[in-house]
Amino acid sequence: MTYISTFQDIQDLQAAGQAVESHLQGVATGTTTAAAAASGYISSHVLLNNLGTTLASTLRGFPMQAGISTKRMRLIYAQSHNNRAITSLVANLYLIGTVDFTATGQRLTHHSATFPLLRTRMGQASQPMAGIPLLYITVATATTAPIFTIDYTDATGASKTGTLTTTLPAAITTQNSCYIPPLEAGTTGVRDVSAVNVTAAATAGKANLYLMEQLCYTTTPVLNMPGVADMVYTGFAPPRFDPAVATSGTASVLTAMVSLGSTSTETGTAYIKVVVES
Amino acid sequence: MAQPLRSIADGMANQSAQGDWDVVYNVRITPATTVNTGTTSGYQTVARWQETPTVPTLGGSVPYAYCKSVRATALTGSGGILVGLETNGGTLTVSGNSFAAGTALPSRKSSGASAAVQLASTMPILWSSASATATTPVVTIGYTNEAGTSSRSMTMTLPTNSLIGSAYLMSPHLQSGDLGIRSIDSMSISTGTAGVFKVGLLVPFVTQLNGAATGCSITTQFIPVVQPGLLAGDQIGVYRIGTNSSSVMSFGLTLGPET
Repeated sequence: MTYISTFQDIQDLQAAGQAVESHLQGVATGTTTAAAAASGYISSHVLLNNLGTTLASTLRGFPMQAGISTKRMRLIYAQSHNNRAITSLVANLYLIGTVDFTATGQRLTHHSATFPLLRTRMGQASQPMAGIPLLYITVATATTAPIFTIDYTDATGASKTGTLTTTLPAAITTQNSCYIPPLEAGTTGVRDVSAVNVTAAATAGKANLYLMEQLCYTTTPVLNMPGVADMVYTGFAPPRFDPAVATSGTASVLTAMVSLGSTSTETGTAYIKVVVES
Repeated sequence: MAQPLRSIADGMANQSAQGDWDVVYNVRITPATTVNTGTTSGYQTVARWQETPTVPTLGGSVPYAYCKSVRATALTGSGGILVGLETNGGTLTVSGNSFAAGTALPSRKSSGASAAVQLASTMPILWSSASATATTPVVTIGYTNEAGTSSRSMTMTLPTNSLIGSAYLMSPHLQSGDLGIRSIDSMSISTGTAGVFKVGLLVPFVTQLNGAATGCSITTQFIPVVQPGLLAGDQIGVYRIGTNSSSVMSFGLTLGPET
């Protein structure tokens, strides 16, 4: 098994074609609804590739070749620019399930893959991975701002029954808006979400609930200026890029840009380079 | 051996002793190209710059040159610029559906490496060197992948009537499991009466994004992207990503020596 251990390994693997690079030309997100304290404080967007995406039903992240997700890969370099001054990051978004806000009660339909997602960690194979939940509105809500709590398994494996409510910020919370639901005190991340308990329903509204694995930040402090993340010469810490695997079944993963801090229409480009260890 | 991309001191000493090489295209107008609208032809709109800088003769004490920096300014169209060592992998002439083999990527030593390795292109690009007359043609390409396995195959369905300079990223359409291409073995097209397509086997050493129609500058010594050793006669491919617009563009490139 080949491991990256030197700067030269990075060069040689790329030279030999043991690398993947992908460009993303973003599709405009449309103006979305600003988050409020009750909806996690942070307004965010998922930035998707223009070609191949039909918001918000068909989502295409970084275009990459098929059949490579089983290779062990590390993200070495990323760039992005945005027409807004925002914080953005490269992320693997694993679909936990879909949420229907049109009735009260448990409204999460879990994806067929069984969580937790697994990675080798600190010498132990198949360790559960924790991430941050991200709610992506695929159908705008109507009439009433939905209110819900989430039940989840935290990063330690403990089951948590949600007591903190999330209230979407408007009766009409627009499509493509994204929110990070608040978690219980002490929770550092979640392995899985078992329920989304809707206590105030809307007459319309659906969302995808993702588990977000953050890979690197490419902040754009000035609009239209590129943000760069160099994971080699700035500390030699290239993160694992290939997706974690589900406990059973096959997880649905979207590798894309996530931006934080804007609700205006966003668009931009991004570029990633990945080396393949084996 | 002095290793300019792993040591600032080596790089400066080499440049002082041996000199570097600048190519500057003051202003060239890139032609308008075809907008890519589909998901079967690279997922991006890409335009090839019509100029192809060529690496000059190197002195006897300079076995390789390396890209030190790139500067580019385009007055129209945002997106990005992609620059790399480019080898023509093959040529497809639409009329007659004929294929002419190009050149396989060579073995090269990247900066600081002790030995050469067989290069493979992780960013192969199909581009139109003469405007095509062809309605949504399907181009089938046989190739040898990054591991040296031949008889690999991929297809792309291109937009109708690709204008000269239109370019299409091939990577998303490689045969499942493949990462790149060493050489092109065959090319054919399903329909069409005119036009010429080539495969640029690009080993990129610069990708720079830009959100507005202004300039970009990048010093390649400080990015972790491969810097293949360049030899006299090597060609540098330049592409614009994310735009099809005709633009006034200036471009500059600096090569530094390794000794």
